[in-house]
Amino acid sequence: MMSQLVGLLGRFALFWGIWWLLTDGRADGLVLGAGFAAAAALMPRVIADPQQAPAAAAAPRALLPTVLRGLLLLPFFLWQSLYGGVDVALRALKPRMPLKPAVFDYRLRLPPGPAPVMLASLVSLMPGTLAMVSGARLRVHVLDATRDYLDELQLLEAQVAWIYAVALQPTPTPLSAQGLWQQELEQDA
Amino acid sequence: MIDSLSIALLLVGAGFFFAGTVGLLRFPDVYTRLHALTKADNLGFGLVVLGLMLRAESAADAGKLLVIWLLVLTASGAASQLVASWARARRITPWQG
Repeated sequence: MMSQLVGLLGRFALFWGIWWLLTDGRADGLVLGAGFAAAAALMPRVIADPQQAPAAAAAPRALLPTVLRGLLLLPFFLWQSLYGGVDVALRALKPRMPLKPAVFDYRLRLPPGPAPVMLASLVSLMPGTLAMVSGARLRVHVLDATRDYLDELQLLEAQVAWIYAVALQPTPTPLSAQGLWQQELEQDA
Repeated sequence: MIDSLSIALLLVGAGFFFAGTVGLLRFPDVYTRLHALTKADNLGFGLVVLGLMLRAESAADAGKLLVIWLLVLTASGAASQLVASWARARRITPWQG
């Protein structure tokens, strides 16, 4: 009950702050904004799926700490995405265009939910990798097959787990063999 | 001083947009093109936003630019995943050099 109240207030503060930004910091609209921010903060409680009641009760509560932890790691993500942008820009501009793409699957240790999607978005900003969620795996497309990406993926996954305050689940084999793409295409067909 | 820093950021940002577009045109398949778009354009956009924030008239204006950047970042991350999933569903195999 207490933590739900804290979550409610946290969301209210966040939404009210966004209102303040969107109204160019005007003071005369803040009362109206408080009403809308309160309505928006209550929304997750109103529209929560009754079948997923326990999970839904836990998720909004974790929103504010999640945002704060995400902000703490922002410098690291920004630095990596700067490196990633420079890397791909150089590849595009070099006359010989050094590309040696490959695809592999990374078995996720994150539980299903928003965390894997966040991980895929971040991986897509990192140097040379592009990812999408595919069930319990992350399908990763890389620009330079000669490099090893496993360490970076594991580090990023651990950071996303920390942001979302979820535990990493152990997997029997961390990485499946390359060339899986073709096999799956044959299975699909 | 602030003006020239802002101009420098805007120009470098535009340079990354240019490189991203060159990648979009030159790269061989949908997956490699997504690399160019997500990474180079996001970086270019981030630098442009930073350059504009230096010229913002109020803290709220600068904050608004930051929120816009975060929204675009989220949207482009989601869009690149959707395009990649779509391409895979269409059985488009990745180009291999």
